[in-house]
Amino acid sequence: MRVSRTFKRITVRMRTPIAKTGNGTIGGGKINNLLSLGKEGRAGKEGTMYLVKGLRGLLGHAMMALAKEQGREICHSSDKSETQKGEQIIPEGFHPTGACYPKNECIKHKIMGSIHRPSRIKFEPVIIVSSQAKQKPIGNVNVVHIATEKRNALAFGTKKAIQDFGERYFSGEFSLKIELLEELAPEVLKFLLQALLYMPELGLGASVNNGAGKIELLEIAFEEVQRTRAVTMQGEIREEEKTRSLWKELEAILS
Amino acid sequence: MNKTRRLFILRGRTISPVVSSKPLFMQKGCRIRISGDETGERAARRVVVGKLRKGEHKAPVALSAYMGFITVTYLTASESQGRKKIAYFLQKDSFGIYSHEGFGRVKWLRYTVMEQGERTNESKITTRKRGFRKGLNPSCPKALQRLLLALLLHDFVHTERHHSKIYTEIAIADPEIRSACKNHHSMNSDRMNDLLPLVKYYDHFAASLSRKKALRTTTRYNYEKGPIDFERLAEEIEERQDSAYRLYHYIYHSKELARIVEAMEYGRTSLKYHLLLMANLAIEDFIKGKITLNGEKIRREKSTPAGEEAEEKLQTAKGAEMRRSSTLSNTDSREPDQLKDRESKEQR
Repeated sequence: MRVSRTFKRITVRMRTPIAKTGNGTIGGGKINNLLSLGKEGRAGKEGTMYLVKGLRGLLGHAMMALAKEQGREICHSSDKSETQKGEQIIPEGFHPTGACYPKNECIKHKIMGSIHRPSRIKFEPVIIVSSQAKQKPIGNVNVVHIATEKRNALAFGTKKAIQDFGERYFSGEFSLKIELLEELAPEVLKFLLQALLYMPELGLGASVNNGAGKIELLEIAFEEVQRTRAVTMQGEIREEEKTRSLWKELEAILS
Repeated sequence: MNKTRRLFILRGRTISPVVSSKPLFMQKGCRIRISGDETGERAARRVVVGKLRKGEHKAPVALSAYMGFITVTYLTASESQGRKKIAYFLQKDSFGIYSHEGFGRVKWLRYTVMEQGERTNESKITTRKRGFRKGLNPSCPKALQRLLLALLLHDFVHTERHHSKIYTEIAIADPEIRSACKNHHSMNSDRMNDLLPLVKYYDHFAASLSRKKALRTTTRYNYEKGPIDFERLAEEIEERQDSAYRLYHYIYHSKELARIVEAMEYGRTSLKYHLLLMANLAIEDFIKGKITLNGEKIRREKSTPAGEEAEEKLQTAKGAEMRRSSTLSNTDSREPDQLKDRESKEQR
């Protein structure tokens, strides 16, 4: 048995000095942890894998900021136009998510979709593991520095603590892979790439105003991928990927 | 013509958590199960994903997800249909909701075909809904009745950690039951009291079973359906403290206790559910022979040698979990002063 699928993929390699994408469980010590995925074999405590969250949201926010600069109206991140008290929450230049569909579908909705239509892009999970791990896990895993920042602060002139908690952070290089589930029009693809390039202007995760979440883009690759899965005689499943660079196509779109 | 049916099995492992309400679900006529190991004997690891609000996972953004090994099974007599189904899943990269954000990614490992007659671990899995007895058995031993009374009354007295959950303390006549109820949060346990370790054990066990998702509430009960007369409720319970049958029957049919939450951090569980769960767990253990009676004495036996190792692991895991999460213990996070304030407001 053999199945294969061909699709286009954007791979972005990026680096962060410090990012706090904590959304995991909170231990007894008031520590905002990263989302843990467990560990493999005898990898030790340091071998725990974590999931980097918030990348899709970051791209969505980058699209909104970019569209505001370009002066085009796109979907807002919220699908509600006002609060229960009647306060408007959608700023000028945006409309509630999915309100444009299907008559005047905006460029963000064409990429990200909404409750009315599925997204045309799919993010692969970005998994990180500490460089202190004794055994590197199998698969596509990014090895980074992971540690905990202790946030203790005393109120000025007193000895009373106003902050007493910890935040897990990571630092290093990682790759983000975005699958294109459908063929995107050149204009839409260009907007997607521009939004990816705009991402460092915002910030990843929490404490952005305190210096965390800064990202630096190192490399962007646009390629065609043929993924094949085949069942061997012993019943094991082998997965293979063949890639072809589409850099020329990308260059033509961006020019 | 009767053809032999065959079981088509595709096995893989999860790379990122599969966001789903349960680890067992159906898709395209196939049964999909997430388990803790490849053989399917261990339960899947449950993780909670979602946005944090003030440092906590809260509804509706607290999503349950499962990690481990995934098994897709399809039972059919048609070879081509089975292969077609497996090919569909082989091409699939992810399961569950939020797959576009990177959740639910799987890596396929193995494909096998088995005859229907062959026993597999998957075929043994059954889902069971916990049900409560409508009443107690007429031949319930005296010692077990006393234990059930202690279990059903333990949250209606003031303890070191919390006030009575119906605000009014019940005067328990039996000194041993009263001591077990009053000290079920106390570290210095009374060694002469046989009921106390059992009350502590079933209180923790029932809390760990029922408290899955946190939902902090600010009110002990929902005011929309009118106020609850706690003094009358306390009197009704106090009247029935002599008979486990009458007390169990009253709690089973009580509409007021169903409205009162068991813990302020876990607003989904009612006090009625917690009490009935404890009583039913104790009865199940008695039927299984885990609780032994020696005249007036009652004690919980250690498990049999075959299941000892598994139970020991379960207990240590549960113990570690309880130590990690202080909210799992059956406590009320509010200070006694706050409780007094609350009580006076409600009385007003």
